[in-house]
Amino acid sequence: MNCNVLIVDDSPILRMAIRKVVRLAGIEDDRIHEAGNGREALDVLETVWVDLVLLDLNMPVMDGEQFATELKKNPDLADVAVVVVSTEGNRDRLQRMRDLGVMETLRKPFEPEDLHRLIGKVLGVNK
Amino acid sequence: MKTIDGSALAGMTINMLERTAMVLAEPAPEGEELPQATRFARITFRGPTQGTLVLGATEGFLRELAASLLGVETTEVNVDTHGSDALKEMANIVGGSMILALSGDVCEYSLGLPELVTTGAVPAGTNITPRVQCAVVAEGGLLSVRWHEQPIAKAA
Repeated sequence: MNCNVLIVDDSPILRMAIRKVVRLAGIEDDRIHEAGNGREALDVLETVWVDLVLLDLNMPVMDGEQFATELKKNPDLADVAVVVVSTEGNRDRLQRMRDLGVMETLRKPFEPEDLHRLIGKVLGVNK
Repeated sequence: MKTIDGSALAGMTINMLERTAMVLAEPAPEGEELPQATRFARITFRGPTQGTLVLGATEGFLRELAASLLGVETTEVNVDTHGSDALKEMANIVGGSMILALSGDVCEYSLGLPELVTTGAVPAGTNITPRVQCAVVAEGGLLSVRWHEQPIAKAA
């Protein structure tokens, strides 16, 4: 599948686990990018077009909400699909993320199949 | 606001392990001598109340957890890097499940960032006693979870 996916999570092991699922969803390994926080994610987006961002919220340096705010401000990136993958349950914060254009939220803990289905849904390639 | 007992905390922990990492665990048997956790991570939460969640694990448990997350053999796991990172992430996920369970329909809690600590003790000087604790065992070893909570002092 010719889509680029960016995984943004401060946990390296969770990024690796999510990467496995993204590969199973049909995304080639060299089209999967990683960042450890929002700042690193913005740096990645300066160099590569991404179709989908899988975004954690609680991260050091720049959290997911700050990242989504920066994304929204940039006309070149404002339409990038963002899915929150987080433990976040705070109602107000999730509403703010929806206001920033986040398409879906997947709450941890999730089963790999949940993420697989969500990737297919967002990218329009349900298998 | 709801309350959580040790049994509910164990249930959340077991569910989290199974869903996230396909690690099958069960409540630790009572009255038996259990292995001691040697690695610890904690995360704070704040909302209508505040507190700390502390997870402790044996190295064997961390090997099993990290290997399952990565899809590799336990012998390929580096406990200092993969295992510790997995423990922090589990603190994050159990913490998230716990504040949702505490809140009911509307979650007003927020989590801090998980961090590794050298002991299972809460920071010295804090007046927080363990409110709820549990231990679960999997093939690789033991995971303990302790939840410390206190009301937020109201401004005078």
